[in-house]
Amino acid sequence: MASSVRFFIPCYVDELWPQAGRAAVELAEAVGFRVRVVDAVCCGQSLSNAGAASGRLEARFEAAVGGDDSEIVVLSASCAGHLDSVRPPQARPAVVEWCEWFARHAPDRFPKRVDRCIALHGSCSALRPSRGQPSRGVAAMRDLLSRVDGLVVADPEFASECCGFGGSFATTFPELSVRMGKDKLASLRDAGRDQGPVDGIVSSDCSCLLHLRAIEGVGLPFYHVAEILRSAA
Amino acid sequence: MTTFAQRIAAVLRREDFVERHVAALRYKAGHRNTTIESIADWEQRRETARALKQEVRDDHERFVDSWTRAAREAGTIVHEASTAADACGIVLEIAKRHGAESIAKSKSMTTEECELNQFLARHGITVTDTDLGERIVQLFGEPPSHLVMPAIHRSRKEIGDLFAREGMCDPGEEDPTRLTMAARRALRTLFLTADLGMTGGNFLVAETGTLVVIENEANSLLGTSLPDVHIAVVGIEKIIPRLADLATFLTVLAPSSTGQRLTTYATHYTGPQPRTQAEIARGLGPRELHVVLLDNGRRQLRGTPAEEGLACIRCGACLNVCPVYRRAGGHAYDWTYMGPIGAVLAPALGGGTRDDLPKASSLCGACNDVCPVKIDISGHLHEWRRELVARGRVRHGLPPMLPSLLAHKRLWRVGIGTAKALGPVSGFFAKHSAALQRWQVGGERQLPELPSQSFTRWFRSRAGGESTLRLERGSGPRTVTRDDPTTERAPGYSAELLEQLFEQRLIEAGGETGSSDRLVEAVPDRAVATEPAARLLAARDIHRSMAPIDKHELDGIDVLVATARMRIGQKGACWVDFSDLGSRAQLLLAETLVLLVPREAIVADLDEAYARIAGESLPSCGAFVTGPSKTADIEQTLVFGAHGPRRLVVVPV
Ligand code: SF4
Repeated sequence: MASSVRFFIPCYVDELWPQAGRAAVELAEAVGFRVRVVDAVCCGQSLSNAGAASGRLEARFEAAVGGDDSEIVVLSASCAGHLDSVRPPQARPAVVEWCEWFARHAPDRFPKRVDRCIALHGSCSALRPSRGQPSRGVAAMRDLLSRVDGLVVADPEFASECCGFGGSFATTFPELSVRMGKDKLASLRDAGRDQGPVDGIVSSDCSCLLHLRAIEGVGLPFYHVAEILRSAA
Repeated sequence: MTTFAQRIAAVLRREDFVERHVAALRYKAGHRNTTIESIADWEQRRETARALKQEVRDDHERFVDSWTRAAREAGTIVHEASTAADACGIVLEIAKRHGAESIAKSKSMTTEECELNQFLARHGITVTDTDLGERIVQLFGEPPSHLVMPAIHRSRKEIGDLFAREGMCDPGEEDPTRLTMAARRALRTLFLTADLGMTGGNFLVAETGTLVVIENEANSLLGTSLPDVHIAVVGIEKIIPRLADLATFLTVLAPSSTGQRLTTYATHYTGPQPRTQAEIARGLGPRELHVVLLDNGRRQLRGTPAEEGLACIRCGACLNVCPVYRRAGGHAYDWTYMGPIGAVLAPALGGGTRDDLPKASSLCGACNDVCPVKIDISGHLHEWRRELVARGRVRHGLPPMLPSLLAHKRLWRVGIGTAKALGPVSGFFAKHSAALQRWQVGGERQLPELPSQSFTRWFRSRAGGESTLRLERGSGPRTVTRDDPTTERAPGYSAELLEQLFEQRLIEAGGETGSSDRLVEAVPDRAVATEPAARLLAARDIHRSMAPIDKHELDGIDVLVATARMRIGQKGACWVDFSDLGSRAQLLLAETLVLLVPREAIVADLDEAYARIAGESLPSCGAFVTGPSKTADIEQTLVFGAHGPRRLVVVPV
């Protein structure tokens, strides 16, 4: 008896990091869900952050999800945060970030070992409450990763410092954005100092990862949490 | 005029500056985190502070009236200044009336805002900034670059070279302690001769008409104690309702600002302090206390995204954690108020020329996390962006087609599909699209590859062919705890514990405790004493001569013994009632200050302290003193004896 779940795969994940969406869907199916995908492109955040009118996108999102009370699982902490900030409190259907949702259903232990040391990048939306909303998911991400045998999760120094993506910020102040990214990469690379060398970087926001991977000089692979968990399944 | 984008790009080319600045601010932010971990009611305090500021904003004019009335009753001369020009005029008028030529001014962002120094200079009055960091930037001829650490952008080498040029030290000096002492010597002379003292103000207490000034160096106290006239220029938003509310504000301010538990001096001025008998005997005239209440656009912030910015207590915490400020430095903002809070105030107070500042943030929200009055800083920056774009004051800067592409799934797919099909010629786009060029920053950041199959195509291609992977469902979310900060505060303290706590906190603040059994050790033969201290000592058969009154005679005194009224266990602080002194200078000019405090007079926290102060009677001048005078204005190196006593010894008797 498969229950069903609705996923919202944000625009940039859809086109630029599809592997995260694939892993997330396969994991959901593995624990017995039938996945439906919401027919909307963008939650509006990319426009709204720049100060552009985003009402049209938000209305489209509501139209795409409306008429059905089942919650929307969003594969990005920052998009989930944006939706929370523009939707009325207690809006239906509810929005939940993917890690928070999957932590409710994931196995207590994943079947396969993953003998790696991964540095955890908590995106700003995953780390901290914003505009009155609770933080989206770093705790859930940690919880999920802790269920994988062999996996060492390393925390970088200055973990709460932003990686420098910030949507339009990345192109408004490109030099600054890249500088922040380089500093973040340096601390992620050094995160494993006590636990052995870091051999990958994990986050629940593909937008940070896209930016960091594009600057990358550290030669490490980048993963959405779902990809790591998929490799343990 | 340059834009923030141009200025930040220029700063980033100065590698060594960026590295030093980032490291200094990470260090400061670390201090804050360590201190607040041991404050059990931290989050409640922040919420209380926020609510108190809101209470005042909701009924602002009534609070202004009650503060003004209470202050006037206490003898303060209150002036209202609608604009910066008004404030300058008022100060000039007072200065002229007293024939003042030299003013000792302590750190105040409001006077920066009014460009008061420059104004008075044009009228032949010299204003010397006496806070070490402020003095450094004044000598450099530049504005402060941080709300509480004005010279954080300067290295010890630059400061050493500056002081050498000014003849304050030998060329090549780079030692922060010796540089601080060089400044102390130069400024001591100034304090002794200044005609007038100026300060800003951290809080105005509506209930009592009190002005509260917070500082570490004692430069503010010296400036208000040695000259006869004290002028404070204070923004109208600094009003808080009640004396007891200071317990909350003082509890959140210092940890946020410097990671201290309490700032070294928190001085409460309620009216001009009457002269003591001894001072009158010397023919000293009455003191004057002027407060200039500055509006300068503040009332007009109501209803704008900057309104909540009025709650700011200028702790600087949001600057310290801001990833943009850390790399930009304060001067890149090119405005009095820098960092995240500066960007919130800029479009409203910056005269229409600072509209690009709300964009100077990745909206990461680190500022909101630390703000002691819980201002939704990044939320307001976001509101400003939308408002400024909607009003046509700034452009959103996104590719013009993007909004339409994202709104129509079909268009979006066609757009992406075209980009993929154009693979071979996409180099053309990469070169000619302004946004893509900015993304690449001259090759520093690559364009993302476009995977051949999008998520949507993959999902559709499966058409019901679900994954065969099977996993067992688990029992649900778990909390993964990880070095949760433990707090050390117990609900109640035994007398013994409170003593221990006091000693520990005083030592943290650089002070020392003495034992009453070995009182003689704390008060060597050469020590001089205030009258009440001398009486206390005499009762223990220790006879010390009376401390002089006059500032010139006090200058250079080695050990001075005075009395304090009570101790605050949690903060390591002593409450000094200035009417116990023969003159205010007595507290400030000795090398070592010994404070005798009645043993039983110890309270747990500031709440209790204020209850006691209110129960007795609020003196016209009183201060919490927590350790010796200190500064860390030169590369964060802590130096004792910035301007006031180098040592503080507290002896319960
Ligand atoms: S906005 Fe908040 S954190 Fe920033 S200086 Fe003001 S009080 Fe401090």
